[in-house]
Amino acid sequence: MSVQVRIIIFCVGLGLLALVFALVRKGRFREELSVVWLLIGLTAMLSSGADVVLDRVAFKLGISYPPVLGFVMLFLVLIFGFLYFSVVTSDLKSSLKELAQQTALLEDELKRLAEKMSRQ
Amino acid sequence: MKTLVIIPAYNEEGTIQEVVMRTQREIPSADIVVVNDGSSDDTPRLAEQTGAMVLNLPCNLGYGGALQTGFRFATRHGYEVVVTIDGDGQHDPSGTHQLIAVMERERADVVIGSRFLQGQYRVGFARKLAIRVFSHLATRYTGTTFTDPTSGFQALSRRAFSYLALRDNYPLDYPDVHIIMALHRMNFKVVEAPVRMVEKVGGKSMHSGLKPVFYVVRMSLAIVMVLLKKV
Repeated sequence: MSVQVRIIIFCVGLGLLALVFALVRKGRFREELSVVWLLIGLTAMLSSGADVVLDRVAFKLGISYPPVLGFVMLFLVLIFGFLYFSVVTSDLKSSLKELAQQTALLEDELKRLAEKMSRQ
Repeated sequence: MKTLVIIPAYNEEGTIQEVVMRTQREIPSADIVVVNDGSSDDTPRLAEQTGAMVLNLPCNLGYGGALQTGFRFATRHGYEVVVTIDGDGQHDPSGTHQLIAVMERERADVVIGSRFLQGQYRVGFARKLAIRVFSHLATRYTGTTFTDPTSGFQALSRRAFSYLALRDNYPLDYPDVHIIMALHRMNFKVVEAPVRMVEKVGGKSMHSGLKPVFYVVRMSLAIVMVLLKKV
């Protein structure tokens, strides 16, 4: 990998980290959800020099074509990312259900109270 | 007995008034609540015109989510029996008497109205196959014969609906065979009774398109979860 490519990958990772920090600071991204993206940014920065390590690890694991190891690692990171956000979505859906049901029931209570008061 | 009829409705403006009025004629002593599941059409206004109570969900939760809202309403207002009828006009409300009679006779907690115990009812091949498989599973697991575990026409005792009103005891989408199994596991008595159902007269089926495939996978997973759940 040429030095220029390494610098570009490093800068992209750094840019992603800076963007996530900025979004968290502005309150547009919740801290607990940003952790995954901070890790992705950090991984992108480190991957600018990963080929040196990747080649050695791949050959030690008996993988003759080192990029395969990179793809496998990327795939695993994405799978865990999807899993994490699926859990978050499920939690949100449960909370949304509770809120929607409570809203409908409270709206009904309010209507009954208003009718009762107008009769008095 | 203080009875509440719950009618979940999502975009059922073509049928909702007819369903409510038929229910009012058949069971004049029962209260009726229409749970408007975030409809984008005129369903809530038309339902209110009939004199029924209307609960408006701010967004579409799904069939199970709407029914659970009704169960919560029934628990809060001290109803003793709840009957669930679909808003699409598929269920004949006259069957309610039969469901409640069987509930009293059998001392059951839940009575499921089966369209297959009485007369003929046409369903598509994929759905028929799914109903057969899930009926067999429910029958084997509970020891009680089930022919129509996907039926939404049901009568529930206070004990049963107040249990299902609890947070995670009822699914948002399809409350079918796994709920029968879960109720059996919690020592609720679930039985079937024959009812008459008519072909859909309006609305869109929740089992259309690729949904049956998703349904079978979803239901199989739900069954495994019920079997693994600690009582």
